Amino acid sequence: MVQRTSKKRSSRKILDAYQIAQRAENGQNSDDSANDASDDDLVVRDGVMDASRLVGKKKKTKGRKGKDSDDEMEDEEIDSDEALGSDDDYDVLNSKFSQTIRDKSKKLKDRARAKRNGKKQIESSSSEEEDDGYASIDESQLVGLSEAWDMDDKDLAKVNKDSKKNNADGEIVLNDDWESESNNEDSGSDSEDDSESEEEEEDEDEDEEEDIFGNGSDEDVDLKSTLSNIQSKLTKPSKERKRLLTETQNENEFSLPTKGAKLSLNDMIAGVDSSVNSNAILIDKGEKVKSLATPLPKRIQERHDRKVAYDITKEEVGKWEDIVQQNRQAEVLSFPMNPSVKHNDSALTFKSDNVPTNELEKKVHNLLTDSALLDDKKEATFEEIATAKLSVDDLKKRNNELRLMRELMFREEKRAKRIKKIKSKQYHKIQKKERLRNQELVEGSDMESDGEEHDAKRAQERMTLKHKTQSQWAKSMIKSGLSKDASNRGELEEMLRQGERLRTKQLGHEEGEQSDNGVSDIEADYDNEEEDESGSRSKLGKGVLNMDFMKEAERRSKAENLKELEFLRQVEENDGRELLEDGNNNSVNLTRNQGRRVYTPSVSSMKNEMDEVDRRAVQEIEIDESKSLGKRLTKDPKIGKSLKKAEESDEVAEADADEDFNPWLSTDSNTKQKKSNKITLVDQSSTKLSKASQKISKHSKKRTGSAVDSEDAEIDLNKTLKIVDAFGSDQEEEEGANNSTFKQKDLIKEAFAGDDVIQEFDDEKRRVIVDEDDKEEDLTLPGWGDWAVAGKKNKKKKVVRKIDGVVQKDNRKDKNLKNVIINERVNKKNLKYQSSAVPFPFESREQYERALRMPVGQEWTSRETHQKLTMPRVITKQGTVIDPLKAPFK
Amino acid sequence: MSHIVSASAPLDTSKYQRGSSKQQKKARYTKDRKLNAGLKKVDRQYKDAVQSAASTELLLQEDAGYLEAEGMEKTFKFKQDEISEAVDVSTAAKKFDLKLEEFGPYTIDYSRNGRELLIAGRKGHVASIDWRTGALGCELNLNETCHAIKSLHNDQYFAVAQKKYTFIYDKTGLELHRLKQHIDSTLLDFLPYHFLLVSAGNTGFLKYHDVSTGTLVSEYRTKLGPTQAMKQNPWNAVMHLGHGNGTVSLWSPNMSTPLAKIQSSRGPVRDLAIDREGRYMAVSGADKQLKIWDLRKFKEIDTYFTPTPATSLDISDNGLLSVGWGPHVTVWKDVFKSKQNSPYMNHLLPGSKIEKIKYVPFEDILGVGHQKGVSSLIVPGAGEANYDALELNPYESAKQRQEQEVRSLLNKLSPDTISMDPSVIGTVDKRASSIRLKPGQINQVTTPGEDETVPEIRPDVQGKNSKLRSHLRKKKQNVIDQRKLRIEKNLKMEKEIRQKRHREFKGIPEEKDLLGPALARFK
Repeated sequence: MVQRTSKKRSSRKILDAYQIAQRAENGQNSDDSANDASDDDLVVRDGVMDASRLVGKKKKTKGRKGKDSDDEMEDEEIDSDEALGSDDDYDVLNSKFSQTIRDKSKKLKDRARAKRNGKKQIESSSSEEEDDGYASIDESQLVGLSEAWDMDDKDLAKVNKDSKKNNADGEIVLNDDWESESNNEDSGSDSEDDSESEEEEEDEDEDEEEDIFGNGSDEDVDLKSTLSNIQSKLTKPSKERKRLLTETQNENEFSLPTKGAKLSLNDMIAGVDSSVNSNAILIDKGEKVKSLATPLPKRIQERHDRKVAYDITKEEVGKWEDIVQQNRQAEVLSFPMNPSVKHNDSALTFKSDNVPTNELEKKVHNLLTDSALLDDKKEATFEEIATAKLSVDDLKKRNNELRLMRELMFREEKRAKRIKKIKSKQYHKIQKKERLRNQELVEGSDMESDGEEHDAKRAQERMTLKHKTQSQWAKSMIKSGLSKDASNRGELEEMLRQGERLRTKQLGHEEGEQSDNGVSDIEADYDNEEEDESGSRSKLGKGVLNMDFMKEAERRSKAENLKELEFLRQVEENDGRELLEDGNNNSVNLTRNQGRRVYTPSVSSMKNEMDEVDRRAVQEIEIDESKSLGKRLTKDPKIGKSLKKAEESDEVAEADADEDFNPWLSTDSNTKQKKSNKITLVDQSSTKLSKASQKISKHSKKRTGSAVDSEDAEIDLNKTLKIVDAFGSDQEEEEGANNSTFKQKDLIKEAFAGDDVIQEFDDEKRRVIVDEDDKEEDLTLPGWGDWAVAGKKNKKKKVVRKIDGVVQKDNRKDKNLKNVIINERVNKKNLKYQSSAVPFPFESREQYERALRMPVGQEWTSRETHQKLTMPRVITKQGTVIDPLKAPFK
Repeated sequence: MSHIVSASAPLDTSKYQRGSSKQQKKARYTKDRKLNAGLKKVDRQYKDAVQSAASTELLLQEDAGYLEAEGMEKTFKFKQDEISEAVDVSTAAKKFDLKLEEFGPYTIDYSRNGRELLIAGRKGHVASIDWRTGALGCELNLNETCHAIKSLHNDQYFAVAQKKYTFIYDKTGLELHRLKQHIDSTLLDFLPYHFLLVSAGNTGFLKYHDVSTGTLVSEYRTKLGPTQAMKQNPWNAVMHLGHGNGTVSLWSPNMSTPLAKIQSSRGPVRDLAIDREGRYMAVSGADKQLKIWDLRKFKEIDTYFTPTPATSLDISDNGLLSVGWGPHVTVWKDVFKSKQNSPYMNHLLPGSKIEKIKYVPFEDILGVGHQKGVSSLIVPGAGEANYDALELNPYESAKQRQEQEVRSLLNKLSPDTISMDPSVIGTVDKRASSIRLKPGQINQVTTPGEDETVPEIRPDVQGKNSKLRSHLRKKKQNVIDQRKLRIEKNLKMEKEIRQKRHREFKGIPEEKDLLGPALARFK
């Protein structure tokens, strides 16, 4: 069996080799511009050849075990090839196709052979060689191309030798040869186990091809010699040769025989770098990478993809749900969502860094830096420098000076404190005088130098009243506000001070000498004046004051004043009690009697008041005198009594005044007094005295009741009210009124008896009710369809139409109302302000009207509510960038 | 300290509630979640708004005070002099008398914010006065009868009903318009929110004139003779007219017939007054009756008697009813709450018949126009103490007035919105569901004339000459053949059917078939 199969195989291989050789020959012989026909022929021939091979192979593989799987493999290969072919030319594809098929068959054969070898343990050198050749090639075994060619030559020689040696199995030799050839041609990618790196070979494939053919031509001699051998030995040429169109011939770098194996990343990397770990992820591990399951149909796969994608997206979007919900439910959305807090800068806000921000600040800053005023450090250094510049002696001197000054200041301070503590008036007086003298000495020199001028100035001041606030300038100053200009204010103040000084001078005493020595002071004034009179007054010359009557008046007043002074002096001396008790009864006459009669009752009352004042003064004096407590105690009731007495007298006086009260001469003060009397409060807490006085006053009022008085008039008014008022609450009054009204009512009834408006109204209402009620219309046509015979009875059939009225009789609003007719007609103009159906989101009228009940306008709600309800749904701040919504989960 | 409301204490919000409680209960639940959420939101807003409104009451610091009598005193016995002495100087200064004896009884009116006083003497003396300062705005002598004077939306314009026409003048007394349509009107009123000048008078016509556009909105014939009295209901802008037969009719510019009619008095109505909230109406008639009506229920509450027919009535913001009868002015308090036995205040203007009384808005002052001039009386507690400056500002500046004018023009209501119940605007028409047609019914509406209720009228004559009968007649009587027999049988059947139908029509019950259905066919 082995023999046979190997023979068959070898024979075919020989044939193949022959073909190749022939083709090479053709290729060499024929020009590049060989005509298509010859090409076609060639192709066809090749196709025939290939097909025969294919058929043969099929025949062989028929009985084998792994047939199915092989078939599958084949399919796969074809698929991949197709995929490859899409890129390549037709020829390439064809060649590739044929190549792969060829490889496949070879592989199968190899496998089978290996199996057999494993079984039978046949140690055939050729098969071992083959196996070795396919199993593994050491990198060390790899050789350069030139060497390879040499080796080839050697091989060839060897083979020749071998063939010569083993004449018996020349086929096997040939076979070997072929294999080596093919190995060269396909550059080691024909076996799946082949780990040989092909890069170099690929680069030189084209050269190789030529060389191959070269080799072929070299071998030609051998081939030709063997051809006859083969042909003679080929017992069974395959009969079923079918012509298939498969191009296998045009081999190039793209038509790599892969033998169905894929180039793995591992393979590629292994060639580059041995250090790469085989555990690297990208490198697919192990030889037993299972074939992948058939992919799902695209449609279904896409559906699955979409589903998964949807789920992912859903989950992603789901994260937003909360925030979207929140935003949807929010009444107001204001953008930007989280504005950065901005403090408004004002003059009051504290800023830690004084970096100039605006133009002005910058300018100021620059100015300060330029003038070296900005840094206080600089100043310090300056000072330091100043002191540093001083020499040691100077520094000492300066320090001493400073110390001296300090010492002096301290002493002065101490002295001042001591002096301040001195309480002696004498000392202070002396001190003051001294000071004044000193001052005078200083001023005096000035005064002496231009006294006249000073006087003139003073006079001018007096005349122009410049020192008062009456002058136009001062007025304007005041008007415009004093605080505006410090200098102006100073001037004004100075002026006023000047005026004050002058005034004090006018009065005659020096500044700060206003003493309160009582009468003596005034007397002294007078004395001064008298002294003056002869001098300064007379100097004034003509004027109002110099006129006779003025002088007279002055004199008179002076005399009076002097008298008063005398009196006061007396009072001062001997308590003046006698004087007061004397009761200067003639005081009224003295003061008021000026040649006119006084009608006012106030005169007498005034007199009384004066008396009262005197009396009080006396009492006070008495109280003052009585120093012991006992004395005082005994005196107290007296005081009370006296007070009471006083009051009484007052009342009496008042009553008198009332009695001869002349309304034409009434003064405001009087009436006021009266008013106040009217509102006197008498209650539990008030004293007996006040109560008594109240009583008295009442009594007095009663006494004078007959007189026409304002108070009495009021009382009368009350009375008159009672008479006049028709709506009085008193029983009698009411009765009386009722009587009168009863009569009136009767009268009215009589008056309106004729036209019974009520009846008319009721009639009208009845009419309206009938008019607006539903109506029935009889549509029967009388006589229609009847015989006009006398004896014919009336038919009962009626045609009636109902007409809807405005409102049914029983549904009227005014059904139970008396004297009222309510119009039930629909106001059509109002209808346009009503909605004919419940608007969309609402389901019932109640819901809608409930939503409506809150007015939005600011007239009906509080400001806060109005603003809240009218706030726009979305508020955006102008000029700000509104960022897209940020999810909080990020 | 008690007036300070602590935060925890619940505010009394009852005053600010809107809508009926029934309404709140009914619409509680729906299945629609979104709608429910919306309703809840509305409810929440409403609640907040009510709370907020109630809390603003804190700002209303002013309180209306009334006269209070101690012991035996009666408030109606206080004289104006006494009151003016007791009150503060500024209030006392508001009491004044204008003695204008020449130009006959004076009618008065105040501008809406109470700043300006308009007086019109019957004999043509018209003047506008800033009564607080006493500054005379304008004074006119029109030399013809003046029946009524009315200030328009602000104190810049006023209308005067003169002998024949009604005129509009501006503040300076310049005649702006002569309203030709308003002939012989004796009563004027102005609806401020609709800008409608309303006039009625001897012609018996009621005319609405839009003063902002200058068009006559509507005119209706009352058919009740010369109108005696006219006042507006401030709540719903319905005009109340008093007529010679003692009825009061209520009018809107949208209906040619009165919205309601009330028979109030037996004699002619002399005057009427409606309170600010539109709840009560006081009507005085020539039958010396003063009747108080509840306008919500249209029921008479009380009747008072006036010694002489009350010529003028007015109700203040705080619900004081003042009655002018003869030379007297009587002020009644709480008349709408209960029957009063005695008045609140009394005043007599000796020898001067009262023509018109009118309360000053936001003031405790009652203006009285009478035979001999105009006087103002102090009525403590009459005016609204807290005014809304956004609405009417007694102290408004010129700028504010101008802005208010523009705003009110923008907010002007259409005359069509006037109805008895103004709250009906914006709501769902109750009749709408009955009016609306179902989809199938629309076709029926489009082909009018075919009313199924009207049966076709057919002559009731029975067809005597049926074909069979005529055929039978044609045939010879004595010939009896198969066909004749058949015809006769058919005729008989026909007759039976006819009779049966007739019986059915008449409603006579069918006589019971003795034989039963099985044997009946052999009959």
